[in-house]
Formats: sequence, structure tokens, C-alpha cells
Amino acid sequence: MVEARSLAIAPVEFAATDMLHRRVPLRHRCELGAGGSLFVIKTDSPLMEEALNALAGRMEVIAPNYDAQWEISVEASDRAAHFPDAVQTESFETFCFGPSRSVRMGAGSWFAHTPPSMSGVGFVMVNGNECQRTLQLVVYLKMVLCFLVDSGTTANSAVECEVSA
Amino acid sequence: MIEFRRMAPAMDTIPLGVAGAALSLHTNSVQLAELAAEFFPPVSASVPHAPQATLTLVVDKGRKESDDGRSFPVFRGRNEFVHADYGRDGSLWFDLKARAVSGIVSHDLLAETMRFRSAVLAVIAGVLAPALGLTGVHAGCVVRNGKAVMLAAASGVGKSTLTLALALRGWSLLSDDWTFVTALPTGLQVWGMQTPLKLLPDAVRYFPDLSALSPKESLNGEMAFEVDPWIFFHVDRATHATPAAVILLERDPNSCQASRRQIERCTPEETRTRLFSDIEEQPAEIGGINDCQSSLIDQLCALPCYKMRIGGHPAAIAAELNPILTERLCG
Repeated sequence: MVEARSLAIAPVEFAATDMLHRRVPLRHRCELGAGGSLFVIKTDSPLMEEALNALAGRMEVIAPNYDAQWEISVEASDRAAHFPDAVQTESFETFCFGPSRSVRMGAGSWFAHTPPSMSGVGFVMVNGNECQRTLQLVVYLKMVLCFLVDSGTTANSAVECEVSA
Repeated sequence: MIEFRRMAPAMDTIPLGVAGAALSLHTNSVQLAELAAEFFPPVSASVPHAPQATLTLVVDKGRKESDDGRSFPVFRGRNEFVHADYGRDGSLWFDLKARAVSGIVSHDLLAETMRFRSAVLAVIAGVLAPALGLTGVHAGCVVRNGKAVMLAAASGVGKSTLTLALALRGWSLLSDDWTFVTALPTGLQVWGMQTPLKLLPDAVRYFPDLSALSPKESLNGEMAFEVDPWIFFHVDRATHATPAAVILLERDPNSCQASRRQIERCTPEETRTRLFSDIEEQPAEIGGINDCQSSLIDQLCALPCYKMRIGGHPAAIAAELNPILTERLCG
């Protein structure tokens, strides 16, 4: 279900070092039911629903009967499109800070949450045409799913990961 | 996949202080620990304070990212989470609800001491401040006899140049742009950070010594001189003080002549409007912070508040203000 009319993704108007992005309204709402779970994504991008539908089958891997709400803001840049076509080719880093965990991807996109909740917030940096941006959103959502599955299995373990050489 | 290690710190927990609030630092770097301790001196060397926030900073090699022309740092946040992205030079992550900050910074970023202070340490203070019960006010601040005068104005009006001009007339410089306010049992306190003084390129006509330097791109993309005022201009530094007055500054090109400049009282409502215009509303997830900020601003507005239209050479403005401030407010 998408509540708002389709809008082109607008380039960011505020300075990168402002904190005004906190106020960006997320007027689009996508819902996906899978395996007894309900996932709700609030976003400012009308492309998110299409990206989400491409992942319908993967949502069940998180956990059955689990509800989650994600607030995802999508930003466009004028850079030439660069997107991996598979999860395995995208580099990412995971972080622990206090009770929370986050993942940052190579293009600067990220997602953060506080386990055991699967709800969280994130930012996606996209570029290129509409098709390319949708594909980038799909890759992003796949990353978030992998990350949340990993969080679910390691939430209570000590943080021991290696910074690559 | 690259994963992050919270490495066993090379040192014990290091106590730090941000405007009177205690922090604890874990790090694997002696150099970072020393810079942080200098920037965030502990609340009290003799009395241990339970930390209100934890800071974990790891120094490591930079990321292997392609140069795609993006300019860093980039800040993005929502709800209680904030991410400061330094590109190849690392990341900072803030959970403002838990008051936890973790990050990884590159050796290269740490080696640029002035940039590390302004782009990392000052950012930590600014982002974390509301969660610690501090309010950042967009005002310069000078101190005499332990009493502080805050000079509040929008960007570009001349806060920094006037603050510096007053400091050159014997006032201690606490801050030139952002001043932190906190409430102690004894009353309000204002605090400054050891961040570079930022002056736009045209300031060289007022301070010719700047001609020996070249403007560089600052954190928000502006070309500016960024200097350590206490070293470059040999002015005294104040770290904290009791606020005694607030002066609202407005730019007026017709105020170049002394006869057209005057300082007059303004209402608490005018002061509140001005001070609040630059304060960011905090997410509800952090809880109660907006009320705390509002209370601190109200206490500031209860102080003597003045307004002044300024124009022309900051040294001339400072010469007029100096006796007024000294006699009325800080004598």
C-alpha cells in the first residue's frame, strides 16, 4: 500500500553537515506481510515499494511472527551510477555502539537498530536513472536483511570482529 | 566482508569532561587519548564522576573506497541515531538514547590535529550535547572577571570578528561561534571548546596578520581562515564562566559611524526568538531534551539582554562596547 503520489527523488538541499535531514518527512508507507510477520517501511521514495516487492520471498528469513518498522530516507546524487548486482560484491562494515548496531555500505548507505528489535532507521544513497535507483534500493534492502539476521544470532555475544588489513 | 573490532584498549578507561558532563573514553591510541584529554579536560582530577556517556574510538587504516568526488564529512541521523561519515577516514556512530558513541578513524585523520579537533572531537560534543543536558547556543562569548557576555547573531553578521576584537582588547575568549550552556546547582554556566576560530576571507582587511595564511575549505564547505586564536593572536582563553548578559547583534551597513551605533535593552521574548532560531529540535526518542533546552534558554533570557546594530571595523565596535560591558556587566 502506498499512501502518497509518486514524486521524483529530489536532490538534497541542505548542507551535508547540517542536521536538518532529521526533519525530512517520510510520506510514503510500504507494508509487506511475510511468514506471519509485518514489515512497514516509512520512506520518502516512491521506488521503495517496487524494491520491497522484489524481496517478498526473503522477508521470511528474518523471523516468523515478527513486526518491524523501518524509517528509510533516500537521497539522490548526480554521480554516475555505480551499483553492485549482488550482495556479495558490496563491501560493508558493521559497528556496535552501546546497545545498538549498525551497518555501513560502500556507497555511504547505512542502517541502524537496537537489538533485539528489528525496527530501525537508515539512509540510502542512490544515483542514475529510475531503474538503477530501484536496483540500488533492492541491494540495500538485501544488505539490511542480512545484517538483521546476523544481529539476531549475535545480539548477545561479545563484539569480536576484525578490521581488515 | 569487513567487520569491526572493538579492540581491547591499550589504556584504562580515560575520564573526559564535556562542559561539566563526565565521559569515559576507550581507545587503542595514545595520541588520540592525549588529544581528547586536552580537548575534553576531565570534570575534576580529584573527584571521580560517573560517566554520563561512553566514547569508544579506534584508530586504524582508512577505508579502501574509490574517490567518487564526494565531500566529507557527511552527517545523517534519525531518531536517536546519528552517523558522521568521514569517507575513507572512518565513521562515528551515536546512540543518543544510550549516550554511546563509537567510531573508527584513520591514522591520516588523526595526524591532521586541527582538523581532527574540529571535524571529530567538536562534532562529538555538538551531537552529544543535548543528550548530556547541554544546549549549544549560536553565540560568541568573551569573559572578564569570571563573567561572560554572549554575542548572539546569525551567520555572517560579525560574531567572530567582534569576539576576536574584544579579545584583543583584553577579554578572555571562550568561543567565537557556538557556546554550550548548562545548569549547575549554583546557576548557569557557559562553556567553550578548543576549536579553531573561523573567519571568512574578507576578515583579512580587519586583521592583516591573516594575510600570512591561506583560506581553506571548512567543515560546511565555506572558504575560511581557521586559526587557533589563542596561539595565533595571543589572546587569553576562558574555558567556562557565569553568563552575565546576552547581546543580540544585527548587521547594518549604515552603522559604520559610531554615532549611529547604539546598544539598547531588548525584551526576553526577542532574545528567546533569536536564540531559538538556531537550536535544532531534538527527536522525541531521546526524551525530555527539548524541555531542558527550553528551560536553559529561558534562564539565559532572564539575564540582562541587549541588542545592537553593527557595521564597519570590528575594532571600532569593540572600542565602544568595551567600557559599556566592563562598567555595566562585568565590573
